[in-house]
Amino acid sequence: MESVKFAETLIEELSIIVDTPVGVDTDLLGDAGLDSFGTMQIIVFLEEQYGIQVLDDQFNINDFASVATIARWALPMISAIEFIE
Amino acid sequence: MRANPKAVCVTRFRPDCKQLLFLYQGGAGMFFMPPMRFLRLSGANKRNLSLLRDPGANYYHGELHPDCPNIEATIEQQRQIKRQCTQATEFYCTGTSMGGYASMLFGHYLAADIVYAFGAQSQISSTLVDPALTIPPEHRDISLLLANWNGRTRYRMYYSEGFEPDRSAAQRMANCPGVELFPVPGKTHNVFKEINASKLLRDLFPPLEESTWWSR
Repeated sequence: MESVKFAETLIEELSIIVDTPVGVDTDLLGDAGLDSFGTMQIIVFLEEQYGIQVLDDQFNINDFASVATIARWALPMISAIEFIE
Repeated sequence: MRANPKAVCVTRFRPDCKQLLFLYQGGAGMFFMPPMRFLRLSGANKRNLSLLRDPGANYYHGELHPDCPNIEATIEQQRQIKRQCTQATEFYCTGTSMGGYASMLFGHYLAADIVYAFGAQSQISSTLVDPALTIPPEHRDISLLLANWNGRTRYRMYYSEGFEPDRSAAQRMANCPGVELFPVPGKTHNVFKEINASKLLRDLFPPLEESTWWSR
């Protein structure tokens, strides 16, 4: 998975979820107001879009602090799926 | 099913899980704790789940979303989720405060197996909701709805025994068919404040079947 493409897709989805423009380093939890409900939306999006399984009890809220933060843990999982497939 | 833009409902299905949980957020969008924490402590995040919120805090009777313009449409939307989750054979509803009220309301219509209502209101006064809304009497007073029992659902009402509004709201439901009361120590609306919430929530839902792929 190309990281730029992943970031663009995630930014597009996040901008809809939080209803405000989002960039790679936007503070999602502060400036963008991403709440627990939105976090769940992101998890569902990643699972359905990329086929990964997010074991959310292994994460804390800071793992959703920005697009860059999400990419840091999500991209390796997505790459592993693509490798298997 | 994926989350809708600006959604009020998010669903997450687990192909091998036979339990479907319907969760209803309280007025502040919480479960007396952040939703993700509630999902983790209760193990809800390991089951099929549907999470619904009411941004207008109208006890789920106003327009939640263009797809859910009124309570009838929202009930049907919840039924649709139940039908879509074809792997589920067990259905549970839960929520806190306004969400606890909603868990009883929707639990009745969904014919859930068990409802777990925490600090739930059992009546809606006009001061709590948009006065322009038309709310049926059996929804304003949930005891009227549950008096006509659906023959399946068990309602477990947890409340702080030292918090009079919630104690009254629960005790007036005591004679409704299927209702059981669970007073817990505490003096505030937040049922989890003075108890070991982790312990209560950990054992709340029936255990999932053990995964057996390694022992076959």
